[in-house]
Amino acid sequence: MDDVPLIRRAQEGDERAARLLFDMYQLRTYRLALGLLGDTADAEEVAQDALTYALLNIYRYKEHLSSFSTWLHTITVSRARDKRRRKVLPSISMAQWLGMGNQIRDYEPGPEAHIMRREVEGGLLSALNKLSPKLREAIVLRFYADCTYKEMGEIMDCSLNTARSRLRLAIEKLRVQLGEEQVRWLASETIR
Amino acid sequence: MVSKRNHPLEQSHYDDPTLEEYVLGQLLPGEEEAIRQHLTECAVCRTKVAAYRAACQRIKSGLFQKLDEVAPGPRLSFDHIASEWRKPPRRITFLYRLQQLMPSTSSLVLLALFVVAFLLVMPPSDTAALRNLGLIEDYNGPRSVVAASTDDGLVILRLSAGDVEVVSHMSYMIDPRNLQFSPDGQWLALQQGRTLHIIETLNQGAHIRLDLDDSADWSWSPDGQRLAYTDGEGGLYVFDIATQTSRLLVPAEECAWGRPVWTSDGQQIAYSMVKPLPGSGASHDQQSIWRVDPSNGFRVELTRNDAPDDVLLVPAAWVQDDNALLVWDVKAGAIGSLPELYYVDAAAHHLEPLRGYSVAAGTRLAWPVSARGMVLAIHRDQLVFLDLDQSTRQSIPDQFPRPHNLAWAPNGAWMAYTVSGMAEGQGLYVFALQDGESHQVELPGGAVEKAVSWAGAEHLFVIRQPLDSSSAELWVVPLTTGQDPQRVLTNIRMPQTGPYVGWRWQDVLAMQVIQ
Repeated sequence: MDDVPLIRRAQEGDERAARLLFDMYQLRTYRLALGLLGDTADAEEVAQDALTYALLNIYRYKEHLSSFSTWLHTITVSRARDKRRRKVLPSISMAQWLGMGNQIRDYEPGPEAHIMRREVEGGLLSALNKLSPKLREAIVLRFYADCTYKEMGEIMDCSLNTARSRLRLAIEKLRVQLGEEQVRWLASETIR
Repeated sequence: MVSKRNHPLEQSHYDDPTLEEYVLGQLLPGEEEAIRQHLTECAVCRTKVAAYRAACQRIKSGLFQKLDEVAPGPRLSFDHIASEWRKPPRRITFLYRLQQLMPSTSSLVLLALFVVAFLLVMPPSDTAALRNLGLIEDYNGPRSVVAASTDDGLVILRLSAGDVEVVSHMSYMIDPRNLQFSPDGQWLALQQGRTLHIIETLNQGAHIRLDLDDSADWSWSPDGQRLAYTDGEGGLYVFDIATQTSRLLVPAEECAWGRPVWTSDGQQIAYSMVKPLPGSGASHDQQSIWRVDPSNGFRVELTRNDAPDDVLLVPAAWVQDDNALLVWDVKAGAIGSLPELYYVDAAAHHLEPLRGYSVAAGTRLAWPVSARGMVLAIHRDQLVFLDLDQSTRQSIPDQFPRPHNLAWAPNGAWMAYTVSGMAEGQGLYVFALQDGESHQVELPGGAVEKAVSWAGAEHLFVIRQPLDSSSAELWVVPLTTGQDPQRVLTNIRMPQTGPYVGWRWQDVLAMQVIQ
C-alpha cells in the first residue's frame, strides 16, 4: 500500500490517517526494536516511543529526503540506543524472550522447526547477543529491515563505507560464532 | 582478471571482500557478471561464495523466522498518540480544518450555492460606489459626457434627456490629472502617475496607455482625431486616434514644454521651448515660442523670450484667424502674482505686451479667450475686455464683479462666470456682450459656486461645493427653458490648488457636450 497519501493527510492533521500509519508500521517497528534490543518489554516501549514521536512530529518528515520507513527506522534505532544507555541489559538469551508464550502468535511449529529452534537457541541468536550494539544494528537493518548500505548509513548516522564495514565485520563475527564447519555443511547443501 | 588455466593451483582468485560484496549484491552489474563467469571455472572461489552466502542466508532466515513469530502486547497502541494528537498545539492545516467542517461533497455544493446566492443578493462594490454619486434620474440637459474623479475611482457618464448611463467605473484610477475630452466627446485623455491614459468613452471601449513624465501636458486637435502632447522630457508628440500610434514631432533635445495649442483648422501647433526644462533647478538659458506643422514636423520660432530667468512665456490661444497668438507669462518664483498677457504676430515674429493681466488656473488661464477673440484682463486694477481681433480695448464699469472663473459661450456672445465670496446660490452670473449687462443666475442654496462651463448654447455646467463638505457637485443650469437647475452628481473630489493660483478643476472633472 502506498503510504504517501496517508502521510500527507496525517501531515495536514488527519487523525484517521495517523492511525492507519500506526497500524501499518507498528509490527515492523516493534520487531525491529526487538531485533535491536532482544527484550520484548523494551522493544514494546521503544516501538511506542518511536511511533509516538514520528506521528506527533510527522510534519518534520520531508518526503524528498528519505522514505517514511527509513525515517521511522532512524527514530527507532535512536530510541533503542537511548534505551540501551539507560538500562544495563539483562543477560537473558533471545531464546528466553522468544519463548514467552503469551507474546508469541498461535503457531505450532513442525519437527523441522523444532530442530531449527534448538539450533537457533544454541547458535545464531546467542551469537547475535554477543555482538556489539552497532554491529547488531548492522545485521538487523541489513537482514531484517532489508536496508541498503546508504539507508543503513542514514539510520545509524554513519557513512556508507562505515555501514559496509560494520556489516562485514558483524557477519564475520557471526560466522566465527556459528562455526565454520556448520556453515560449510550448509553451504554444500545450498549449492547442491 | 583471472587466468584461464584450469588447475586450481594455477588459477588466480578474487579476494574475500569482493566475493562477500558479490554475495551481498553490492557490485556493479559488469563486475557481478565477471565473478559469475569466474565461479563457473573456479572451485575455490565458488566454495567461498557458497559458504558466505549460506552464512548470510542463515542469519537472514533465522532473524525472519524468529522475529516474525513475535507480536507486540497491548501496551503498544495508538490511544496514547490519539490523546496527544488532539492536544494543542497540533499542526493542523487550514485545509484539514476546512475538510473537517465540510466532510462531504454535498456540503461543498451547498457552500457554492450559498456563495452564489450571496453574490447575487449583495450589490457589487461598483454599485455602492455609483450610489455614492447620487446620480440624477430625470436629467434634462444637453447630451454630454462627463468624467468625474471620486474617492471610489474615476467614473465616466453619458448624459442624455431622461437617461444617465455609466460608461465605465475605474476604481484603480484614484488620482487622475488633467482630464480632457476630445471635442467630439469620443475620447478622454488623463494622466495617472507617469502614464497618459487615452480612453474611448464607450462601454468596453479602447484604452491606450503611454509613458510620460510628471510635467506632461496635452490638448486635442479641433477634430478630436489627434492628441498633441509634451512628454515632460522635452519631446512633443502627436497621437493619432485612427492608427492609435504616437509620432514624434519635436525631439527631446529641443525641450518642448507645457500645453500645445492647436490652430482652429488643426494645421499648426504652438508650443513653448524652455532650455533647460523647468524643474531641473538650473536657470533658463533660452526660451521661445514655436509653431510646428503636425503633418511633417516643420517648425518655426515665433518669438523669443529675452528674460527667460524672470518669466516663462506660455501660449494660450490662437487669435486673428490663427495669424496671432495670445501668450501669458509664468513668473518664476512669484507664486500668486497675476500673469501678464502678450500678443505674438506670427508673421512678423513680434512679441508685444497687451498691458493687461489675467488669472491662472493651474497651467491654464482662468479667463480664456472667446471664439470672437475677446479676453478679459485687468489693467490698472480695472477690468477691461481686450478685443484681440480688432485690437481694441473696452473698459468695464466698476460695479462689475470680478470673476473667479469664467467661460465663454460657443458663439462668443455670452460670458458666464462665478464670483467667489458670494452667498450660497448667489455666485453665478451671465454677461451679455452685446448689451454690456451682467445677470445673476440664482441657484438653490446649500452650496457655493466654484466654476462654470458652457453645455451647448443654452445650458451651463456649474461646479458647486456644498457647505461644510469636502467634495464638489456638478449642476446643469438651463438658461432659456425656464426649467429648474439640476444636480447631476455629487461626491466629486476637490482638486489641489495649482502651482501658481486657482483650482485645478481639470484634475477632477471634465464635461463635453456631444452632438
